[in-house]
Amino acid sequence: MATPDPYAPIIKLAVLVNLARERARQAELPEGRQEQLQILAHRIHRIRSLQEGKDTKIRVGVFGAPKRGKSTLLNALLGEELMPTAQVPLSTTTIEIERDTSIPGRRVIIDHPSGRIEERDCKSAQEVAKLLETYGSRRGTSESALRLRLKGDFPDCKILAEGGVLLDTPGAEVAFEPDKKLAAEAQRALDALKSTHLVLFCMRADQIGSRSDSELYEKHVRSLAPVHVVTMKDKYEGDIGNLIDDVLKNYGLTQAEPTLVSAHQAMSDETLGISGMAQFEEKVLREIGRITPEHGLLSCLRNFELAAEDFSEIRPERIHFMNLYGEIEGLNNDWSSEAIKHMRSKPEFWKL
Amino acid sequence: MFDHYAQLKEGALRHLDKAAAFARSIKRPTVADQLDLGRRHLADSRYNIAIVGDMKRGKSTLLNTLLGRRNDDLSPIQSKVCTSAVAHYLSRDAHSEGLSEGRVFFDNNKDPLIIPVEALREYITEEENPENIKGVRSVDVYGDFPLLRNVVTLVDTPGRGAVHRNHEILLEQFMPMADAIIFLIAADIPVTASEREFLNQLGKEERERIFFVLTKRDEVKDNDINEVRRYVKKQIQESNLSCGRLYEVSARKVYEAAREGSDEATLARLRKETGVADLEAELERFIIETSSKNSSMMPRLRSLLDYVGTFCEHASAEFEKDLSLMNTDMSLITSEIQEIKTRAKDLRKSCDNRLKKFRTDWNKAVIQFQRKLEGRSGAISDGIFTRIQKGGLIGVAVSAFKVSTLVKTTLNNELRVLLPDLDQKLAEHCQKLSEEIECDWETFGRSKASNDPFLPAASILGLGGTAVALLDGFTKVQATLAALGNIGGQTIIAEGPWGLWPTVQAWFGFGPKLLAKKLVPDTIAIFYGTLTPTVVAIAAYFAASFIARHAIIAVQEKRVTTLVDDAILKMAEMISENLMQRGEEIQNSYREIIDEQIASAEERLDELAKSVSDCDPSLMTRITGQAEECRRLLGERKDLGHSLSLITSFPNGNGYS
Repeated sequence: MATPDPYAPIIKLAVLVNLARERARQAELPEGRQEQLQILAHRIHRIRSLQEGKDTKIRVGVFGAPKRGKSTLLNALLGEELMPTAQVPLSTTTIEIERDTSIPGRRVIIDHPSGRIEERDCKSAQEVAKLLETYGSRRGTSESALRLRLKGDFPDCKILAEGGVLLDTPGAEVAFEPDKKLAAEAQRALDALKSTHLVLFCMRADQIGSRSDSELYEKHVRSLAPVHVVTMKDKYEGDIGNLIDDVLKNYGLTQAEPTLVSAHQAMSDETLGISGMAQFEEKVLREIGRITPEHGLLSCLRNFELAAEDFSEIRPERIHFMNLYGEIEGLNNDWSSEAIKHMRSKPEFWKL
Repeated sequence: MFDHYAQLKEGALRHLDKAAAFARSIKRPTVADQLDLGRRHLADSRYNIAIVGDMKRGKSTLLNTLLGRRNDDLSPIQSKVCTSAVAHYLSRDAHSEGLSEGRVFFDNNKDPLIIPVEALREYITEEENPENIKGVRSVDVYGDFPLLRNVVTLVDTPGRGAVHRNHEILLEQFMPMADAIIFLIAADIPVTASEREFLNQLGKEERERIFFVLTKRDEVKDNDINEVRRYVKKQIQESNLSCGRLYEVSARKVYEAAREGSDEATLARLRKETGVADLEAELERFIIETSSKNSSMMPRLRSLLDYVGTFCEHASAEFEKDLSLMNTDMSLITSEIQEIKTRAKDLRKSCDNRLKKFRTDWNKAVIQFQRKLEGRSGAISDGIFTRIQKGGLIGVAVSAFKVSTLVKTTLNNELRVLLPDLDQKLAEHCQKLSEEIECDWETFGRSKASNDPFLPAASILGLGGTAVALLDGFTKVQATLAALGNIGGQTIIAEGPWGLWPTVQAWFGFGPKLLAKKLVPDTIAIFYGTLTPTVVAIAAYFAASFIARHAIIAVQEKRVTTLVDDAILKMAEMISENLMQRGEEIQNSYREIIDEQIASAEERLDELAKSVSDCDPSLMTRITGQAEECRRLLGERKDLGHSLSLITSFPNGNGYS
């Protein structure tokens, strides 16, 4: 007997969610409801993408408008100043950071526009930053690379150790560009989002309420269920309670959602404790965990309930539900039992 | 900021106040109102310096620094509060009392709300007025902002690039009103897409008004700053704007020092070190330079000063004219009065002589008549005696009656022969007197009225004008001033048929018809018209009473001739006496009328002379004072004009030593 595929229920669920989305669109359900379904579809897609072998690792993208402290945040996560940081928004290319224990130091892999792939081993952090700057920013003299990868041991970075890939995306600005003609950087950043399993959305403590952040968030990020990071919290003048209020109000978030960090504080041992980096890291790891089928299934079922609640017309037919139920039951493991238990507790929804 | 200009403006306001008061004092309310209006406009007009930029670019910090604040009560720097309305900061009028106040203007044009500044938050913060639900258009904040002087309004605009798009609409409405725009770009987040959008928008119409200021310089490491500068400049240029200079200002240092209570000297030093002072100086230079070119405040000030100048020059010319006229007139009028009086004396003397002569002639005629009558007495009495003898007298009583009747008849006959001669002579004398006096009067009148067509006419006009003015409470001055009308317009000097002489003539009884013609025949008619009946009556009396009484005895004693003789002599004497008395009466009434006329004219001349001496000092002093004030204003205007040209030719104050 073949080993049951742990992704089978997720694939079934994806079909149901897409069906519901289509029906919701036809029934002209409130946008909020349609969006909930979209977010759910994205989550399912992410879990599926792991199964389909496109990604062997969970891609964690740091995303936000220019000058939101993305690279600095990554440096804090890496514990080293590897990402080039500049006062002016210059980065043009997404940088992928991946753990590879087989590499002794740091290796930068450059995909040149010509098609040539160049591998450069670096001895120092400065050398890495210099290379990334040369090929990943407008400051560099060379033509920007199509893709930049940084590989290394990174023993201190838990996210990489857990199998994640960190992406440093160029600053994306969508609010002020006329007729959706986005800057090349913004387009690249948005493209990078598509292959991302988890988005870390960066907003800057002293720019809360700016349209650059808000529109980017509303148009491209909210539906991806990101982790909300408020960077540069040390730049905020005034009470941190006010800052949190501001963030919640501006982005319509719940108290638990935003995480406040200061990469600047994390650089110094004295202020590391109050930098918020540890809490942030934990939160990211927790979210990564949710992307596996084990953790993902139950959460997706619950989200589907929430999204399709009160709108019986979009719910799939009983036969579809029975198919899903059968796939889950067939797995016969701890987490599938839990899912079965949950579905049985709501027999009228799942048409059992 | 704007030290020289502020001084000039204050000076100009004071100057305009003075000029308006002066215009009012010389009864030129229209000019005064114009000046008041101009003054109000000038006092209210300030240069608008707008501070624009995206949210969190240091607007409030720079604003508070430019306002010279020591705290951020008015424009809170704290992140959470977001300005949602355009706020104008104006230095409170030095004259107005009381605390700072805010005025809130609404979209729907309802009356502005006047509230204490502390309450402004309710209207201008996103927190208390989210999405501008209260419909605030703008607010004016009047406070103690010494650095703005009375010449600058700082306009705080809502931060752009925020979620609240209504801010940008607001901002666009207020942009055209700015004389200069401070565009803030933060060094630590240089030129975002939002800013680029704004720059592109500005690049379509603006070329010069924008001062680009790089804030938060201290947030950037020294070796990064050059890159930031280059980047910012490039972005600005790509927006089709010229960025001649990128100002770098660390207003925060100044503001923090101010908040901590540093003294003014330290703050002044810090303002220099942090580039605040430099920015201020350049703003001043730019604004004054452009405003002297376009239709802004400088030309308005200049035209106001010119207005005062024209008015004063005009008024001054009028004063000079008046004064010179008056100086001449004062002596002229006095001498002329004197002359008129002397000649009035001559007139009286001449009239007196005429009257004396008349009297003599009159009496002579009467005496001649008397003599003639006396001369006829013998013949008359003889005739009567003969008639009595012829008729024969029967009774004394009857004879006496008859004699009386006879005498009466005879005398009547005699008088009828003698009287016409007398009558004619007396009438001639009367006529002569009348003509002589008429002639005197005419000579007197004509002597001043028209014997010299040039000088007297002018002097009479001047004399008369002034004299009448003096008498009529400065009518001329008023008329002259009223006639000034509009400055630059036509001056109508009140000209009238004024002259002392016609007036005096009237006083002396000359009019279209002379006194004598009217007066003398009447007088003569009264006294002369009854002459013949009077003489006849006297004769009748003698006949009836005197002769009748004495006739009986006379007839008896045959003394009729003597009696009649006596009677005629007595009668002639009586007639003569009576006639002479009449002549005296005519003379007296003439003299009385002449005296009366001359005296009353003299009295009025004295009054005039007194008015001249009474009015002279006050009027002269006043007009002299006004002329001086006028000159002072002109001097002041010249100084102000000089300052103005210095400021406009040396906008940064280099023209001052």
